[in-house]
Amino acid sequence: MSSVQIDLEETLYEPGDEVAGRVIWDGAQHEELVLSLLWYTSGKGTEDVEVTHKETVPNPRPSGELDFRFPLPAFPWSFSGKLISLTWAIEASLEPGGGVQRVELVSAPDRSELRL
Amino acid sequence: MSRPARTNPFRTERIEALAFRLDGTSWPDLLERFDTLNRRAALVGPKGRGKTTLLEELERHFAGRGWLVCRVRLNAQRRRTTAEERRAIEEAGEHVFVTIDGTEQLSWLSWRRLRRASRRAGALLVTTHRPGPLPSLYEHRTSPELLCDLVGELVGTEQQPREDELVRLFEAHGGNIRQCLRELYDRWSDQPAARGSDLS
Repeated sequence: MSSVQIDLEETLYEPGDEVAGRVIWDGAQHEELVLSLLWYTSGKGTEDVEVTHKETVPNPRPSGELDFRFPLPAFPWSFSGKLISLTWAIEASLEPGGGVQRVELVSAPDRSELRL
Repeated sequence: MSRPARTNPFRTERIEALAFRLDGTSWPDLLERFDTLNRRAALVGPKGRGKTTLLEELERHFAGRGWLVCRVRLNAQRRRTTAEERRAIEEAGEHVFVTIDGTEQLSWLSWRRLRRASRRAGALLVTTHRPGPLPSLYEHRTSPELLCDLVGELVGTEQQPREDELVRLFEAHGGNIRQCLRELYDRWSDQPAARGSDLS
């Protein structure tokens, strides 16, 4: 069984900032470590997801650490209302079938999720 | 201000993550029956009874055993198959699992053509509101107990609405579980955060 952990320096950002952190993994040998910066919607209707930045480490050692810096796009901003929320996140996964972790973050003016 | 959608326990991703509850049969028996029907069968029931959920679980089951899934989704806004879908169904071979959700949308003639086109596919499973197009693999029924069970899984026993309230909700929506859960979404989001668990 493998595990993966994401440590972010911050979880509140302004659009255009860099998301910086470290991913730490441990366990079995996997084909690749995938790190993604993404946003997704959740709520009452159909969900949407978009990966805006992705890095793949082929044949990672069975355990290790990696620092990363991903640029946050200007849009979309994190927001939440009654029917829909848009959430930014960093996800790390060991493929295939290994540990997965997702850490949510905010990307919006004043580092504060917009409330509709 | 309403509570944020991403924390709503009745949001789409949580509803879709609910496992289908088989009633009166088991997975091995269901799969055996599908084999007995030469893998040509229908999931039958009115709207909001979990036909699509069960169809998708069976798709995952077959995909996990190396089958290719050829999926067609029809609804009131999309009542016809595309030329590409018809071609894929016609070319489907021995290890292709063809699924058609919403067969009731098709005309009699369109259905007959699709059924004929799929004759070489290893398996064909459709959903429909009424028995008829193919032998029934499973007939979907719902109950207030099922609704209570699903709501309990979504919100936890401490926050679960009263049983009589869920029974009223079930009856108001004529047994349509999907509509019940959508109403519970609205009730939950309309409460101020401080009120916590009351969904009635």
